[in-house]
Amino acid sequence: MSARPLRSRTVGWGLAAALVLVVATVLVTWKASSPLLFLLYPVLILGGLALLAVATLWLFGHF
Amino acid sequence: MHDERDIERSKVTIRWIVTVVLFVGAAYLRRHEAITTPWAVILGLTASVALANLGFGAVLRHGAPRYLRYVTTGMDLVLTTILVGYSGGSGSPFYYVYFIILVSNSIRYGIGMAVFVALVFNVAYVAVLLAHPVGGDQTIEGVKILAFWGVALYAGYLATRFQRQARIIEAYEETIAELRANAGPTPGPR
Repeated sequence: MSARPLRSRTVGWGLAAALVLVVATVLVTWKASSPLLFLLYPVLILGGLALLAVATLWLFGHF
Repeated sequence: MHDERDIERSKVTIRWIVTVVLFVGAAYLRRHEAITTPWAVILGLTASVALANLGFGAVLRHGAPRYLRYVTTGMDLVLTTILVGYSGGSGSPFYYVYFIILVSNSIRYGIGMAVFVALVFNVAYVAVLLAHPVGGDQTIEGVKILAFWGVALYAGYLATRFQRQARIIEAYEETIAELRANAGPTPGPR
């Protein structure tokens, strides 16, 4: 009935996805000239939040 | 696993229906010159969906691998993006198809899928805008993207709540069945 336990494999995949999102978005918006690419910022925010969540888990000794 | 197979099978059926509706809609709009989408693109996209759907049907005969949900949803989003891109970009009459994909998948799979759809939509829609620049202020496009994220997160949250309640009811049913089994046969009328 309770929430499913968070497995380290899930966290690992989450961390990898978050890093890809953040690095790709920063690189694309930094290198590209079109101001339209700022519309990708929600992707950057999602990646940032995922990184924050993993960092919080690490701080609280989940691993 | 078996649940996922049923879900994906129902998606295949729905995809056939939506494809027919979209083909008829696109053909009607093209004939009346409301959109400038080339016939080759309309027919090509319809054929692509039909082929992919046949492929998914064949895969589902042997089971449903866990990644399949992301493959089918990603394919739906990519083909929709091509349709939107070729039918006017941000002003496309087919923009609403993104919401059909979002809501139908979020209800089935929960918040993880909702975030996946919103993520792919965000990137794909920016690609559409790069191919068909609107010009001037981009605030409206930003609001459209943020609104989509809002709908995705809310639909995902609701789906997750429903799934949790379904699991609770399932657990109650199992408990009742166990208690009945332990209690032995029920006494008949005296």
